[in-house]
Amino acid sequence: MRRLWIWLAVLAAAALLMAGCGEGKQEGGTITVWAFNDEFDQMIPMFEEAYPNIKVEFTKIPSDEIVTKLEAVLETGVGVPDVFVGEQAWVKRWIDMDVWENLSAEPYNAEELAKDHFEYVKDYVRDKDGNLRALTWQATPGAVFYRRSLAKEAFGTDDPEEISAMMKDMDSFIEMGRTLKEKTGAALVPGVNDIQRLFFFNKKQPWVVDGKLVIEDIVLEFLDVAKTLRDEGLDGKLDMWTDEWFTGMNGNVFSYVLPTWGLFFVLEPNAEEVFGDWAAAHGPASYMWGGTWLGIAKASQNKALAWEFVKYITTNKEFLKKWALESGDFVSDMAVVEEIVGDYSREFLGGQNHYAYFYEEAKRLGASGWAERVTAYDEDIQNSFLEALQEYVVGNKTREEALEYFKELVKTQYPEITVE
Amino acid sequence: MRKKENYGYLFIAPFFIVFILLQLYPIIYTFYLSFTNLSSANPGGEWVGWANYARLLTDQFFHKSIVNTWRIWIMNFIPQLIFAVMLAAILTRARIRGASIFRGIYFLPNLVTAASVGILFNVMLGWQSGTINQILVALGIIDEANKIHFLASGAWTSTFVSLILWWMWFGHSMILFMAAMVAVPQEYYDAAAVDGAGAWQSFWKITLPLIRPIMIYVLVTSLIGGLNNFDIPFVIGEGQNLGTGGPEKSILTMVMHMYNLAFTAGRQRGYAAAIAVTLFVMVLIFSLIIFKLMTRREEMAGRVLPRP
Repeated sequence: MRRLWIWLAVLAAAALLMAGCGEGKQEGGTITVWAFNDEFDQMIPMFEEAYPNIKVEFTKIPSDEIVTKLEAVLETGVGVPDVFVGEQAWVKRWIDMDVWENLSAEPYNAEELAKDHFEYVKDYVRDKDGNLRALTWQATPGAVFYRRSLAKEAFGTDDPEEISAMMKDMDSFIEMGRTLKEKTGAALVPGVNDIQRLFFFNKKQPWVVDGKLVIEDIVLEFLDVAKTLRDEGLDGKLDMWTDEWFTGMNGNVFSYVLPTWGLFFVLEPNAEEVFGDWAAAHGPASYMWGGTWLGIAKASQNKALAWEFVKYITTNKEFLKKWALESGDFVSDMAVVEEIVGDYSREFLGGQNHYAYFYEEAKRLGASGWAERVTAYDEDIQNSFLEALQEYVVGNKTREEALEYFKELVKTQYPEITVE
Repeated sequence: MRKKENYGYLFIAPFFIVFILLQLYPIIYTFYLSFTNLSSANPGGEWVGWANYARLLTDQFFHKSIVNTWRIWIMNFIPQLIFAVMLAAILTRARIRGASIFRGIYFLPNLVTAASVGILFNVMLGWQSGTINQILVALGIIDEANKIHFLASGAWTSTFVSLILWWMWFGHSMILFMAAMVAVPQEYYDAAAVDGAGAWQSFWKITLPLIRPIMIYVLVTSLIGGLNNFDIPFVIGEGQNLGTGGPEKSILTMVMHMYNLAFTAGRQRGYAAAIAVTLFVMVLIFSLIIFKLMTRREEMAGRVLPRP
């Protein structure tokens, strides 16, 4: 009799499971995920709680190794993870290599699910036919974070609106640097590389058009502005990411040009001595920096399960809301942002609502249309440009020599690009 | 009987299987790749004949990297040799208290990983708050406004890389020389002393000729390491805004140039393979030249002073 009960229970459980399948729910299984981000340590347990039948095997690979490792498996086609990430600097590589599923098509239909996402986070990962190849849970609009006390001393106000209005274009920004130097002795920015995005995001064309390198006036202006800043002593002479650069946050530097994650992971942990003395302003150009997208490998054998994972992390509004509230991360979904933007007040920014600030900045960024101008070459070309710019700024090369040097670097790295 | 002989092949097979799979095959494949245009622009990799080698002739960064590699190696090797031999002689011949402690201290830098050395020197060579600059300011040698931007100057950066390599490796060479010097029989020195030779003469006439085989060994291994130099210049250059290769590409070595081409930007595996092959040939030729030169001298030395 007892045995009969057990059998009945087993049958009932099986029936339930099958009913579940009938409703379109997935059968269980294991998927593999490769990423460099610490966030997944918290995200994956949240996903597994919501989807107990799917187990995620997560491999964390340091960010300076992950591209090489992924390229190796993608080229050979052996051991490709079901889901892997693309960071802003190299996500275009995967799209050009055509290794990710087309999420705009059946059975994913991601366009509908991601309809509330900021346009630019989608445009950034569209292939040449306009199809979505990846999705992200975050948006990473930028800001010019400045020191309130120095602003008051030099400009008589520390109000983000007024400061934003003052730095509306590059000339006024430099002029602010001169005032700052005169009145407080502080540097406008830590170093000349810090302001790169304020120029690169104002470009009107891609770096490479029809296989030819395009050097726009705006990047030449960057060359001249950088030289001016250094020669007039308006920058802090600090190289990015060095110890001195971090120390500068507590010292005599007025502003740091950083995005969302720069606030949480760079400024707040390092600028402890001047905690609360900061605010975010809109700089001379809207920009974004960083951000990670998730895509499903074409080579995956578990696409349905992999999609559940990507779908949950990037488009499940409940999850996104929970994630935003728990981590403070700025999420990609405007509807979720609208819902929680209301009464944020960041202590580090003297009570300013950083969520409202980033929301505004992300909308401006979307309107600038830059995402369609980005190519897979950009990151390397811009690094070469910065290399040449440094040689010019420190006085190793003249302006003409630096430009020639830049072209030579591009030619060496990408022989297929025509350089004139 | 025949069967027994064949066992030998079985026992040496593991080495040859591993060697063929993990060394010989990649070497041959590299030769093959150097004749293709494999890169992210040409994922198929078509046969291009000698085109990659022709490009080497016009690649100014490659030319620069050859000069850099030799300059960095020579500027580190000459002081390294002098220091290592001198210290080895002092620590073996003179009876210094705590000789083994000094030996340990001199060898210590060799145990530090390249990444740590990179961070250490990046902090020391920093511009606005670098250790060296702060010391110079404190001593009144330079003033606050004229701090030296070491890592923006090709000459300084290259010199410091040589200095780091010297610092890391003289202890290692010293230990090898000490081992060689201990092996020189005491009788020679006694005999020389009886004939009225001073310490200086014994050193030149006895010690140096007898440690020559070790010197060849040190020279050849250092040359091979020097031509393959990568890690220290890479970590020093990496922290800088000037990109890998340092200011004016002054610390771009041949291997670093190959790495940059093969694993960054355009992933030009084919062209990078051509650099690898050129480097291989270069190491081979110079090692052979050194062996030839030194063994001839060895024979001459042998005639003057037969070894026991």
